[in-house]
Amino acid sequence: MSVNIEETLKPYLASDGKSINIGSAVGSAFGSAVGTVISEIFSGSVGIDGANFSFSGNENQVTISGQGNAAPLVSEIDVTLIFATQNTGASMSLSGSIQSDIPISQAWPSHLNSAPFNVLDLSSGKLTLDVDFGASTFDLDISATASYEKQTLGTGLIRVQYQESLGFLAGFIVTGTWNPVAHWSPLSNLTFTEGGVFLSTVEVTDLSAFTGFPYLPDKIEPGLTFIAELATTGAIKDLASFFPSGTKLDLLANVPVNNPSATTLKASLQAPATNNAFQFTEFSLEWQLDSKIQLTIIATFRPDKNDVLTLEGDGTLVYSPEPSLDADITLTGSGSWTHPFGIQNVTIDAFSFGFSLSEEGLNVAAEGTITVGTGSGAVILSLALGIEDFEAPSFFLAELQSADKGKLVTIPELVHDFIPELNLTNFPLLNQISIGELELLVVAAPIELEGKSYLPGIGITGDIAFFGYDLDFAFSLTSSPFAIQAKGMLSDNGGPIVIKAAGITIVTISDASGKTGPSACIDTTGGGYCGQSNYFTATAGLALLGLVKGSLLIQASGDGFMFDAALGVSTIFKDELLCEFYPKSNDIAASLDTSFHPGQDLNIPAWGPFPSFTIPLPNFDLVLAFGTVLPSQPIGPAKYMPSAPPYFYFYFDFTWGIVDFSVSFAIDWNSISGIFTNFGSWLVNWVENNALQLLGDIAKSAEEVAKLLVQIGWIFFEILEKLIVTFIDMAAEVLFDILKAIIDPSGICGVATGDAALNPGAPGLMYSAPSVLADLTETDRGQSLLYHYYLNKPELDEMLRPGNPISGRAQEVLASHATQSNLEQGRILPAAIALINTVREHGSAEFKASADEVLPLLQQYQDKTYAEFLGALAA
Amino acid sequence: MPNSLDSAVEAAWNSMWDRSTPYHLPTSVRTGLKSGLTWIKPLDSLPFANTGDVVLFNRPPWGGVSIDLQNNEVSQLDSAVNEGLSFDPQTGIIQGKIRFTEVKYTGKYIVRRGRSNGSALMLGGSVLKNIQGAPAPGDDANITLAKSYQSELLQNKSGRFMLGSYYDHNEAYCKAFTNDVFRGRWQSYPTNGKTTSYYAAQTSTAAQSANRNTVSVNGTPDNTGYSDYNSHAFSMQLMLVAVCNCQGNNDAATAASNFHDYSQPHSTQSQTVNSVLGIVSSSTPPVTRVDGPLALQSASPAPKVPEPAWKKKIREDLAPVLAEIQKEEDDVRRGIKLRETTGLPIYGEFRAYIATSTLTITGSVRQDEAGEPVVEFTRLSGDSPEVNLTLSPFQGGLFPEVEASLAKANFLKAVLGKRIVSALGSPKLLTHLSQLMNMATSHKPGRVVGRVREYSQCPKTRNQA
Repeated sequence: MSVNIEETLKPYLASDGKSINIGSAVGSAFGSAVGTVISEIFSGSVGIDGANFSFSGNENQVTISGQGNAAPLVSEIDVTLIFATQNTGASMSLSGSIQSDIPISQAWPSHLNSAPFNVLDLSSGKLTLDVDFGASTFDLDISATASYEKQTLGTGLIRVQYQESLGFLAGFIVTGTWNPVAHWSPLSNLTFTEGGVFLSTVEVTDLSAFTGFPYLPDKIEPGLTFIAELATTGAIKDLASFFPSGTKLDLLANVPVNNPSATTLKASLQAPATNNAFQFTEFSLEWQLDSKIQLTIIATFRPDKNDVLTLEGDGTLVYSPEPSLDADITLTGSGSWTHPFGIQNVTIDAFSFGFSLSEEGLNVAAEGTITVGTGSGAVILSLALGIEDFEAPSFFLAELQSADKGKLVTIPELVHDFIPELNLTNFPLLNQISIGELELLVVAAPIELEGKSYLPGIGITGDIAFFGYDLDFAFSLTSSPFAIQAKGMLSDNGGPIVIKAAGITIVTISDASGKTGPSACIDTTGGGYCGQSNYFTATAGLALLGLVKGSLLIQASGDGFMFDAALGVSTIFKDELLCEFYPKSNDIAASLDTSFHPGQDLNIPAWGPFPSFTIPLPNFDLVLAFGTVLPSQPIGPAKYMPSAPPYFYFYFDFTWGIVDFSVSFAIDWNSISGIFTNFGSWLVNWVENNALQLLGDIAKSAEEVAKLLVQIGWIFFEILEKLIVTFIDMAAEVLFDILKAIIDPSGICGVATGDAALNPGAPGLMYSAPSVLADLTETDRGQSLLYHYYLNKPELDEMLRPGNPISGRAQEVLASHATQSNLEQGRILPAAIALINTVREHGSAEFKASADEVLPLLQQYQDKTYAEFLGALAA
Repeated sequence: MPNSLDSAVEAAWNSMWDRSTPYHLPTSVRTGLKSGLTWIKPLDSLPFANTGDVVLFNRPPWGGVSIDLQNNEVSQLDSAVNEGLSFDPQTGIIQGKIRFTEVKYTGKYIVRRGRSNGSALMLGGSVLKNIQGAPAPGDDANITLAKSYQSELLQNKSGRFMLGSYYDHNEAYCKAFTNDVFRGRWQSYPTNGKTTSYYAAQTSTAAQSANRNTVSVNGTPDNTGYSDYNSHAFSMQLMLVAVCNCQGNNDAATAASNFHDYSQPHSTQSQTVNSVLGIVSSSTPPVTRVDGPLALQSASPAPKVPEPAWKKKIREDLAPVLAEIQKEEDDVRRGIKLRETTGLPIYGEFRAYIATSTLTITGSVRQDEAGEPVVEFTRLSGDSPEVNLTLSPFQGGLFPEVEASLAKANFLKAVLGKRIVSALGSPKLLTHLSQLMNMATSHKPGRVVGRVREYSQCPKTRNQA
């Protein structure tokens, strides 16, 4: 059964019917919702009168309109109030309009007589309120234009809300002259736009009725609240570097109701902001003092495509008088970053970023510790790195923790920890490299740091020692491929490497300027990192025994460094000296094996049996070696091995016509220093001034003396006379035969030729051969004899050479067997057999083998004449 | 020795056949290698000695024909391929098997036509020509006598001068007899109806031991020096000088003239052989150089006497002969006259491409103080390859006969095959292999191995150099 609206309200009408004053008791008929609204929002009664007052309706609905006559419906408000049946009670609907300025505090004086509402004046606007039967919360909304603190504010909404208690919230978009700086002085140094003001007596979280604001905070606290979009300029310009350009913050400023002096000023990111490798999911500011801001930061860090790290932290920004930033964020969760950049065996622990300001702007630094390797051999290092522009770091730098400082770490140890797949046992020079003051980099992309280059992987630098030399080096241990690559400088205490022996500076290895050491490069892959397929090289300026040359490449080879030193200064000598520098003992050794064409005549002064003579344009085979350390192998064709270092040795060999010169000579170490300034000339001079060395061996042999004199151009007689006086122990006939064999090697005699030519019709042939050699070609067995004959002829000729003792013995044997009777009968085999038997015992194994094959055949026919013998061979 | 040695040696051997290593043998043969202080020179060719004259046949009209293979060398050593390795770590003996797919054997040849004599004993070499009192069968008695003169002349300085002067030009005097015109006159030119052989016999008779003090060698000259003997000698000398000059042997021509000047003063008298030898022994040679570059020609010649009329007449008579001699030489030089008809040596070149059998290189491996293996190859052995020479041809009818006989000369092919294997086993190649192995066994990553020279498709060999 529904209530009769008209009958229920009539009792509240004034007796003259021109006003009404409805008390909350009406709620007993209309329901508690209407009753509560009247008692709480309308302060106990709704009073309406005015000249245009009207009351009309029926049992189902009544409309009342007129002018307000009791707070909050003050007389400046025109009102229309409608009650209608609803369920077992009634609904109530109010609409109103403000006709002239009213301080809102007059409407609810007991609630709004204090800040912030006591200075809010409404100049126009509309009121609405709808109360449904059974409702328990109620909103009276006033859309109004307001001024605040006597300054025009703008248009907004005032919501009077009842929710067990009465609360007031007003929100206005600031379009007027009102300024929030009076309440929040830091704002004077900030740039903000599209501000909004909220006034509230309660905490409000549902702000859905408030539209058009730059943003809506999660809630409004009691008091005066100012919101705006804040630009990262002005006082907080130093924070702009954190975010992409144009990023805005949401500003929220509040003056609490209870403690107006405790104003707050906060700002936070509108949305997660991504800046290169960093994404700031939260970045909030809270002003502590006028120029001090508390920061709260949550960021996601993506150093590479595989790693996503979340870091949280806070800090402080002070921007006046001296701007400073002190903030850091630390890994959350597990608290470590394993395998940074995918590098195995490396874990970054307790990793954090710190943010600070410097003259250059915002600095981002990382700190933490790195654990390298696993188990007991792990090395723990302190980590540091710099990040530019929030980009993913290209490297991390770490150094030994203070407890481990001074500890030497060898390259093999590091390789064992970082890239155990790389076997360094065959790189002896690398084994000799140790590092103190170790600095380690975890490198994502190639970088230059302090003038050194590092490749992706593990970078190593520090105080590097190498056989007592300094390696100012940056090592990169890479895993793809497994390798060590390094570049830097090799020096002796920062200066050039100098090798001396016995007071003589042999070599200075330096940079091009000569002032510091050479630049060096290591690449265990032998790839192109060092510019060519080399493993350990240095580009050095070299001064070798006073012979200064430009830069050249020194290459590690075995236990030392190898280089080719160009000896091209001399006008008559141009070649490369192969040098080996042994860093372990600071030694050097060098060798040369070449042809040498001096391009000039050699003038040899008279010496021994020889007159002075000139060798035109000789070509030498030259071997040269010197060193401060004994060579591992004997040197050159003469297999020279010095007795002790230092040594300087050369060997040369050349032929001049029929003469072969060969000299092997070690010279005094102290005389070498000037040799290489013009090595070619020096060598020519040496030969010319050391006839003893050149001719000594030749002078020992009559045959060699004869050859040289023939070569010089002496005539037979002159040479023979010289041989006779020089080799007084030798018979003139022997010397004559020696000389004749040289001058007339064919053995064809002009006298014999002339004699033979006496017979009419004889051909003019110089050459004369035993016909047996032709005869034997006719049969297989004959050819077999010829095979052995020609095979052993060089040896046989040597044994039967004039002057050879075997020759004398052979003559005697032949004379006894070539008897007149045998020769007359044409039996030649006995003499041949005797000859072979005589020389056989002096022959080589091959000679003896041949003799043993030939002799049985000859012996078989020894009684036969020559013709019979030939016939037998053919049979 | 440990197993690691075994594998190190094997790895080193294998690396010599792996083109991707610096120790690839065919490459090192071409370019050489240098590393540390070790130089391994390129190995373009391996030489071996001249064969000397090898008689191919003896038949008319050529007479005895021989070939001398000179400047022998084996090249294309980069054709070596691997045929396996065996190494016994217990004994340290290493045996590598290699094969050359194609070596090149080249050189120069000299073909000579010659007289053949029946002296089988000449096989023994030059010593046999000098057996005292035992003339070789077939040797001309005149030559035997000449040799005994030689021994006597050697006993004094003046005699040695004469011998020396002769031997300085022996080859030129030999060559003179290749001139058909000269040789014809030498045989048939008459002086008072007698030819050279008559006067040679006169010399020979006078030189017989019984006659040396009694029989005149030069007849009985008149006061102008004329005797038939002297006249014939002068004629022959004029022609010899002319041939020598035409053949470019001017020194020999001058020497022949000077010899005449030197001996002329005595030729006006009758001389026995012993008196001639006495004159020689008591004379002072025109040149006695102890030191200093005096040339024979600068020595002051014996004073000249005015030439007698008979000599002038001989000069006139011989003028057309001398012109003929010159024409003959001209024809030879221009190739108008086939060289094979002259008796002069015939020069050419030859080559053969040879695939060797599998050869065994044997050596030893020891360990040095540092424990590094040290390989030393000491020997190469294997079957001799078949050698078929290709000769550059020369004009005439002799060449096909030389080629045919060469094809049948199995003894020579066998000798050459043996020489080639022996050349391949020379220290040059064995040292190259040893050094290469040692460099390879001690290899370390990063070792720098450079080339001694850049690769050349056609390296210069000794013959081309």
